[in-house]
Amino acid sequence: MSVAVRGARTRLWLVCLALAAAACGSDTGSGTVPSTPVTIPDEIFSSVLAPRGTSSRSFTSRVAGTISVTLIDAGATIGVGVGLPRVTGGGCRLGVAVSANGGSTPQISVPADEGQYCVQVFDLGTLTEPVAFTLKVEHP
Amino acid sequence: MRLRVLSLIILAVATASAGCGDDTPTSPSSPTDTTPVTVTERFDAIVDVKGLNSYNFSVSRNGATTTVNLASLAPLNRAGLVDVDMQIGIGTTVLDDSQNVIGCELRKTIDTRPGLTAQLSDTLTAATNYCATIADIGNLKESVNFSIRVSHP
Repeated sequence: MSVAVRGARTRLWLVCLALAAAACGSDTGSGTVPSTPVTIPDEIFSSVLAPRGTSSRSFTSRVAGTISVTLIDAGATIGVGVGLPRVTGGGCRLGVAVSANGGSTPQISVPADEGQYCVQVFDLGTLTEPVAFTLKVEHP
Repeated sequence: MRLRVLSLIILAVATASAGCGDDTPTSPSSPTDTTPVTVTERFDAIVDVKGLNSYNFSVSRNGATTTVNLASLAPLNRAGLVDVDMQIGIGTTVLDDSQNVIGCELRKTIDTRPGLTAQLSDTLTAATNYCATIADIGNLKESVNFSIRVSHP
């Protein structure tokens, strides 16, 4: 066998080995990429509360954790609570409630199991005219 | 010469195929799901002054934890919260001669205010004759709405 033929054979082996290496898939495919934790954005709830009225909104906590409610702005002292949505009809069955008139720190911060919840504002019996309110709900 | 080159290529491809790992798991072919299934049942009703309400539920697996949560206690005709202690319990149903449920024999109770996490837990065996209760222990001044969540396997 000539030197030229041996050299060609060696190069051919190297090319074949390179192809073999390239052909092997990586075991670290997309399935092993660490999942990014899901970030739940704060929920902002703005509406108007009428005298003797209530206003509520539902949300879901996908895991157990802390539910925080901040009544950011309100034209008067009103009731704020967290509970379970009514099974029939609208509204909210409260499990925790406070009276508040707006602020930047949560007025409610309560541990909760995973599940469906609702936040409700309600007239404490003191409103003589409708008041606008804005609240923020943080939950897992 | 051509034949030799072709042989080398075939050999290399065969080597590559043998060297590559199989991406498909061969054993077991389908993963075994060991995550326990928990069901949450919700009971909403009205409990009267000095009253007691009872609800039946089943447990499908031995040794798993069952929890009871008094999640809400609210006035009937106005918004708000009734923030008083009530008694919640877990027990087994009591049957009459016709196999009708006539009561709940409590095995574990706790006095608690409403909250959003379970206040009572118990480890139960698989059976279909369990009950959860809520009762006024003297704190109610009027009938109230309540919501109870029972989580069990």
